[in-house]
Amino acid sequence: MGAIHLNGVSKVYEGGVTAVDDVSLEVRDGEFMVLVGPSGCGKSTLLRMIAGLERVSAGEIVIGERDVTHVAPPDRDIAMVFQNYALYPHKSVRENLAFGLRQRKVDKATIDARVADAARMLGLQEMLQRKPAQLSGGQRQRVAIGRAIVREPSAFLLDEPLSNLDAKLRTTMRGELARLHARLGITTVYVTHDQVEAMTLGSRVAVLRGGIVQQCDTPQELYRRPRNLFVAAFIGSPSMNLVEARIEGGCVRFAGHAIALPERSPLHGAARDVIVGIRPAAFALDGHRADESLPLLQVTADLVEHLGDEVHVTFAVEARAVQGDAVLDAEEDVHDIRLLVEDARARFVAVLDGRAAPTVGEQVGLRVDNDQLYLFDPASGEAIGAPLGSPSSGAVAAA
Amino acid sequence: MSAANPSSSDVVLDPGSRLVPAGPVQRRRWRLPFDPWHLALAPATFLLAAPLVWMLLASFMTNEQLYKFPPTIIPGSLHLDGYRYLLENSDVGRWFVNSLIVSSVCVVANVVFCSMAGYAFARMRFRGSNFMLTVMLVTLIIPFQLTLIPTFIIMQKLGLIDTLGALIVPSLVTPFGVFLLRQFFLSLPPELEEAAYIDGCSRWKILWTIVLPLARPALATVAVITFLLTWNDVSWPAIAISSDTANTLPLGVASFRSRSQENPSAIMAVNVIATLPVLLAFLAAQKTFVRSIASGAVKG
Repeated sequence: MGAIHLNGVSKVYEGGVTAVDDVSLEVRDGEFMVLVGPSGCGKSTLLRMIAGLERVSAGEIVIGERDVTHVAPPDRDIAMVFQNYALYPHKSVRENLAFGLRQRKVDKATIDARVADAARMLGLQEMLQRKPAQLSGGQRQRVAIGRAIVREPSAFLLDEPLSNLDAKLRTTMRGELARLHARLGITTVYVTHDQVEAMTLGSRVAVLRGGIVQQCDTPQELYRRPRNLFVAAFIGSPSMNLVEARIEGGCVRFAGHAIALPERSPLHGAARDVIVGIRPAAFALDGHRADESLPLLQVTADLVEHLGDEVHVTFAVEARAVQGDAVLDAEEDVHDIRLLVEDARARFVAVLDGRAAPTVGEQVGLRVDNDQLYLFDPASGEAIGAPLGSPSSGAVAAA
Repeated sequence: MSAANPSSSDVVLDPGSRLVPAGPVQRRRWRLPFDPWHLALAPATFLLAAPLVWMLLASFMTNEQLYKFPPTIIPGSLHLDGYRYLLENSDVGRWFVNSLIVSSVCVVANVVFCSMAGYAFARMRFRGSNFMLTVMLVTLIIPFQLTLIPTFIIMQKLGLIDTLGALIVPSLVTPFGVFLLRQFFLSLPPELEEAAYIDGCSRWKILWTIVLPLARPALATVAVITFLLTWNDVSWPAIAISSDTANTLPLGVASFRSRSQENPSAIMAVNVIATLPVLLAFLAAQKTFVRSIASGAVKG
């Protein structure tokens, strides 16, 4: 009933700037679909096109069974929550909640009942008479969500609704949103640039870059089987470690290191250039219950960040950081996050057990799970097979 | 250590459980019982208020009291001679009503038309909108004297000369008001209007139910400025109006002053009547007026 179909949807602005390029996507009824990507990737434009706030240059949008491509926003039966909440400052919480229903000439008894229900569900009963300025950030957020709920629409559209909250409240609200969706079961399209939000909330996640959907899949599949370099670099926190390498003699060689490929790897006998990706969690400190049969890297810890149960160890490898557009797009602030600009070496991050943390400057041995190597074509950036450790790798590797 | 020998940055709990700075020596700073700015602002306020107070006092004095030397600052008795003379020898009631009609219509028209035009320039994209805005802004720098004759000819062709219409029509909408409101509307988050649009509002309804209530400070500014300009205007009424019955208050005051030189008390009385509405209008809108200027300053 509330399924959303985007069929070849494009948005071209005046001057020929393409914000969304031929996107085809199906959001199933009751699904929580997250659109994620770096700034300017077109995710908000796509959401606004679904809402009807942006005209569609090409393609069609179907909500339910109805083609709404040229239907005005009020008639699309959707509700939207904006990044800045867009609460009417001169109206009380009650008036804000009831406003949409009043415009639709819903009778007063129904409005009162729905407002009371939403207020009870979101804990807003005590503040119905207050103005938005008298509410905290979290309370405003709840009012914004309540305003969408009372409408009982076919679909919710949420445009970075958590980005104005502080980190702790954001984590709490993330969980609340997931529970709310589970309870209401309404089709939801959620836009965020925060991949942690995307991974934790989405039934499926569509990763966008330059107005094109790079991959749309479940969070686990995106993490385990990224289709290309961009998705690999974008999904995961800390990001995947990437470096240019060469496969030769059954080993992946880079910066003086050699990691043996498992014999069952289809690339074992190949000789070619690749970009190798290693998830930070694929490292283990040598000697601490690490598998002795795994390849060993000797590195010097540059930075050690203690996070309690785990520790993030950063170390340099004697190779240039991967400079491909896909990686630079994924790490959009790459030029801002480098403090010591004269050191252009690639930096790897290893997530290790927090109980055996090395110290800064210490030379340590790291075991690498060679079943967890991601290999990408340096020219196209497309994944070459999938890591052997991923559940469905056999099928992909064979393909 | 710090408890035994507290540094100046330490804090300790006093018996009343209030946090107080702890230190070996508490330096007491000598402070004025008022803000130092008041030393400059009080004389300035006096300089600005004195003529108004003097005008009010003088309007309740007799001519003899006013001509006395040395002059009387605080009169021994108050009289209504000036007001009585004014009412008997002028059409001040009609001038007042005329001014009120002209100013009120212009205020309402400016608030309505400037908000509509300002909203269109701020939010709606239409062919030639930038050009029209530029042309409108250019008219701000054209001196009033340059447009006097064309305006007179237009009013004459409309048959409005020597009627209140000649004073109202040219001031129904002002470029300044349009520009001010456009800038204010641009500062409102567009998401508010988009939310209302999704909620089912038309453009008109968005303007009336969401945008204008939020624009009250800016609307008050436009209203007060329009009121001040139209109420105090002498030049254009002096050209467009020739009969005494269509005179506005400033015009009437000017003619009354010239023919009542020997009666300063009455001149002060008519000045009080001409000034009072302006003061009242400003005081009524002061809060929103000042808030509007302040918010504009903060937001840049």
